[in-house]
Amino acid sequence: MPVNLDRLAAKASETTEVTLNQRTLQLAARFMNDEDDLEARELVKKLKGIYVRSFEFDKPGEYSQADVEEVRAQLKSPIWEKIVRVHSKRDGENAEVYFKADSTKQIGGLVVIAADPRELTIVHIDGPLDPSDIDKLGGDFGVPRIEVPPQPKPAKEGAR
Amino acid sequence: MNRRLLPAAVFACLALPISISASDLSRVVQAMENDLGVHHTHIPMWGMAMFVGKVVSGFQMPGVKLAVFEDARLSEHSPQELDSALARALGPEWTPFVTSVSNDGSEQNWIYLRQDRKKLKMFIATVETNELSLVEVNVSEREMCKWINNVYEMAARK
Repeated sequence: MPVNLDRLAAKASETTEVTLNQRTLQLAARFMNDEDDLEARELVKKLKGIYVRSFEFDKPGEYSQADVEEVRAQLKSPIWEKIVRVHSKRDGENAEVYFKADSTKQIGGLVVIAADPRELTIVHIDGPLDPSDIDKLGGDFGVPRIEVPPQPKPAKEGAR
Repeated sequence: MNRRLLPAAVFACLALPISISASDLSRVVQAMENDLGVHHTHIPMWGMAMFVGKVVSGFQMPGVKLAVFEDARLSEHSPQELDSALARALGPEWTPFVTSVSNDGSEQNWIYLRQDRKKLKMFIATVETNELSLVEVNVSEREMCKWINNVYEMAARK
């Protein structure tokens, strides 16, 4: 995880952590044979890891906007850029998506912060991908279902 | 079944936990005992139960191995200590998959994965107060698909 979440973990009533490193992802890809999963399988093969931390709270309001802001503050430019705030199709959850541009100006990873009153989920997808790929992974591996509108690709170096 | 073979079959089933001494579960149980100073509980007739279950239902639980610790000394260890002890005992060939910890320490679950040739193995550890359960199981393709599609629900069902 590129962000420190210890304070949230201390406040949450339950913390769930899903770790899929490259080895586990390659393994999981072998089992994604449903027609619905084919796009996700091709994507998963390229990724270095998917890391999910989900915090459940007993009551709404047990975590504050300041707690979320502390997470946001760790996703700073120039490494991280916030691309969009989206509204989840499921449960009206709010989500923010940040991307990391790698040395070749390609998107090298994404962080999703998905918040609802009693649950906060942080997802780090490590590896080359397009923001719209989140939709392909949504619902798999604990990644929340969110739809990211198409984003302009980062300009390649030397491009006018 | 031939009556003369029955005692041998029963013996083989009762001896099953001993015959899997080379399994990861046995190794982990021993390491956890040494590391945490706790002792696992013998489950009488576990091999027999698996055999009867297979005969009655016609369904063999694929490679299920179970160990239970009921030891008051478990509560002396923090979730982090238990997690570290488990990771050390399992070794690097097992990769962490899902961890779920309640803040009051009342329940902790760890799930690890390992590829064993063409099989996928899952190791599940659950701690509730003074009880630690360790389960090693082969995972079918269908089961793994369910895990991929709904990690949280499957972890809650374990």
